[in-house]
Order: sequence, then C-alpha cells, then structure tokens
Amino acid sequence: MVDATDKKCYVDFGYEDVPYDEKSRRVKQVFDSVADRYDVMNDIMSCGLHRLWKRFTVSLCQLKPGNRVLDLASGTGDLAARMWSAIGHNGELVVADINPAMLSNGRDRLIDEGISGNVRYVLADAESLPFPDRFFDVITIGFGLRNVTAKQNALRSMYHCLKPGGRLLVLEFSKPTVPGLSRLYDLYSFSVLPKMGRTIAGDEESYRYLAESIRRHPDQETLKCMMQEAGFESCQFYNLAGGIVAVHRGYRF
Amino acid sequence: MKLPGVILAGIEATFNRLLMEQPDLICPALDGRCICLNLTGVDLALFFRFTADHVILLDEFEQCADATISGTPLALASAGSGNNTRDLRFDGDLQAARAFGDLLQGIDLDWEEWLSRYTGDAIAFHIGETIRYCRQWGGQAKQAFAEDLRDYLQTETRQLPVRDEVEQFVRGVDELRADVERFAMRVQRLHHRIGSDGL
Ligand SMILES: C[S@@+](CC[C@H](N)C(=O)[O-])C[C@H]1O[C@@H](n2cnc3c(N)ncnc32)[C@H](O)[C@@H]1O
Repeated sequence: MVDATDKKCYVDFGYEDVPYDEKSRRVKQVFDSVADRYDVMNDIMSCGLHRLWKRFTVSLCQLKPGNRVLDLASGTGDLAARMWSAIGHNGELVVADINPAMLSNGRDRLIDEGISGNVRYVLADAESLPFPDRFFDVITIGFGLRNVTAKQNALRSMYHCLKPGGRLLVLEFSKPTVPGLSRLYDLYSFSVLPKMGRTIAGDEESYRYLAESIRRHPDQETLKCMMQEAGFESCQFYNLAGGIVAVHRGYRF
Repeated sequence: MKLPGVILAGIEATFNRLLMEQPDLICPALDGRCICLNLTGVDLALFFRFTADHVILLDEFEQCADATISGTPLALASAGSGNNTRDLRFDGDLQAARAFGDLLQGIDLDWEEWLSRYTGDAIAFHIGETIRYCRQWGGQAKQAFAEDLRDYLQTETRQLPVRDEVEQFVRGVDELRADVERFAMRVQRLHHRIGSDGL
C-alpha cells in the first residue's frame, strides 16, 4: 500500500492510489458496472439493514412541508424517496449524482413509485455543486462521500448551498466501536463480500473496491472534524450497527 | 457517560414532534440558545440547542451553554413532575433556564411511545413499566427509606428500642410514677397521723 501523502496528486481508490483525475473515472466504472443490480446487492449485503439506516437518517433531517432538499450521490434514490413524502407538494426535491447510469436508474425508480412533479434531476459532482448559495434546507449524502475524490471540497460546497439553519446529513460506513466486531467485519467485507459480488452482481472487483474504500474512509471523529472545518456547527454523529455505519449531522447557522 | 446515538436521536425526535404540536413552547428566551442538562451522579450532559422551530440534541457542544441545569436524575424527575426544584442547581442565563424548565413541564414525554419505535412494542412496554416503577419508587423511596432506617437502628445496631420495648418501658414508667404517687400519698398520710396523735 502506498502512502497517499508521499505523492500529493495521488488519491486513494480503495487500497490503490491513483492519480487525482483518475479516481472519479474509476468510481464511475464501478457504479456503471453495478447500477442494475445495486438495490438487490444492498439488501443482501446489509441484510436489509440499510433500509433502517436510511429511515433513521431521514428522521434526523427535521423535514417540514415546503422544504427544499437535495439528495446528493443519490444513486437509486432511496433517501430521496423517503424525503419526498415528508416535504409535501409544496416542497422541492433535487436528486443529484455524478453518474448518468445511476441517475437515470434513480429517476426511473422514483417515477415508478409515483414520485414526480416537484422533483428535479441534476448530473453533478459533489465537489462543485451547481446551485446558488443558501439554497437548500436539507442536504443528504448516503454512502456517497466515500467515493468523492476531495471530500473537504465537497463538504465546503455543500455548506455553501445550505440556508442558515439548514443541515447536512452524511450516512456512511464508519469504524466499528464494539470490541471484537472489527475482525468479524473484516472477514465479512474482504472475504465474503467480494464473492457475493461475483455471484450476484457478476463483479468481484467492484465489491472489493467497496470494502477497501470503506476502510480508507475517515472514522467518526475525523469526519466530524472535517465537517467543522468546512464551517458546520452543532455537529453530532450517531453510530448504527455498532459503528459499522454512522450518520453525521451538521448545521449551517 | 454518553447516550447511544439512537436514544439521543429518539429523545430529540420526541421533543420535536411535541414542539410541532405546541410551537408556542419555544419562547423567544430559548430561540438560538443552548441549555445544558447536567445529570450528576450518572455524569451525563445533554445539550439542547434551540432554533426558531425545533430543538437539536447534542452530547457535546463546542461553545459554552447559555444556561446549565444540574441535579441528580431523581431531583430532575421530581422537578419535572411539578414538584419542588430545590435540589436543582441553575447557572448562567436564568431566564433561559426558566423557559426551559417551563418547556419540560409543558410537555409530557411518553417514554413508551418513543421507545417502541426503536425497540418494538413488547420491549418498550417493559421499559415503560420499569420507568413507571422507578417513578413510583421515587415516591415510595422516602417512606421506605424511613422504614429501613428505623429497622436498621432498632434491630441491627440496637441504637433504638423497637416499638414494643418502648411501649413496655413507657408502661413501666407510668406504673412507677403511679407507685411513687401512691407511696407519696401514704407517706403524707403517715405524716398526718403522727401529727394528730401528737407523737
Ligand atoms: C453507493 S451509491 C449510493 C446510493 C444511494 N445514496 C444509497 O444510499 O443507496 C454511491 C453513489 O455516489 C455517486 N458518486 C460518486 N462520486 C460522486 C461525486 N463526486 N459526486 C456525486 N455523486 C457521486 C455514485 O455515482 C453512486 O451513485
């Protein structure tokens, strides 16, 4: 494993280090390859738990009818669909992803569920969001920040798009806090997960990337500090499943 | 001590749901303020940061809270159910602390209801029962404590006599007093007799 700090223009791609410009292309490849079977894999990998984690995340949003919300790295739109029911017809939902295949999958799925009218779809990179300053009441990013090349830039960009009183919710894999869980979890994600990826999604490499990128992602305290550095206040994280997953929330005041 | 995130979020959600029903509970004295609730004994601090329409619950606050309310859980529970606030300690902005106290008394947390959303009804019912029991216990504790203390002093350390002994003793004293009085009368009578016989 190469230390990313030795080569400043190199960034992590799972346990590999790749040139800065290449990461988003490689991430795109991963999601292009899994887009179709993404939902099924999610359910199998997390034993359905990801649904609870998402529900919990939305419950922390303090959504009100009429809110304008952004679901970033939306993928198949799980968080978006849940938020939509809380903001009502006067609200506005913006769904954004960097990957056209994922975005179009998400759009099809939301339309199939009857979610339309006050919904907009935007192909966007979290690092430089194409929205005005102080625009959203809530921004969510579910299992997306890990894939972003320059996370600090992305957090700053999200901060700017939030109204005062607005909040960011980051749902992401994190560091297990329950003793003993770490080793079991390692075994699961490095041995079982890639094999499941091969069998179900026909793609072992992408799921290996998933496991590796989880390990390289900042732990709870580090991410909290990064959010504070980006300007967020009253930051709080909530561990779920013993810290395998955590939800971070921060406010712009 | 830190509360598990799910519980923290649960308390927050409950507060916010109740605040949505009664928005006037957040008065201007609370808007933008942060109140620290400090449970002594269990070493637990909760920070309630108020916005215009909801409350954010934190287990850490980067700045200094505007007001702090400290007390044991029992003292807080007793203040919360409308009893005295003598055992609580208030620091900082008293107006904000008072407004927070009013808010706590204004909303009645249904523990079972919010727990059931995270634990399932059966478990929540048990926890609810436990909490109710604890509340009752709080009320009965004083009486029970008095009884325990009495037992301890009477039978364990024998510092104090038990009721029967005291009653026996008091009866004995009564009898003695009556005997003494009778004896005094007799002596008096003898005195008289000696006087009248001219001895
Ligand atoms: C694991 S999926 C998450 C999907 C969905 N949010 C969920 O929770 O199920 C990650 C998504 O992040 C998107 N993504 C990766 N890098 C991104 C970036 N820089 N900006 C926006 N989206 C990005 C990917 O295209 C992919 O759809």
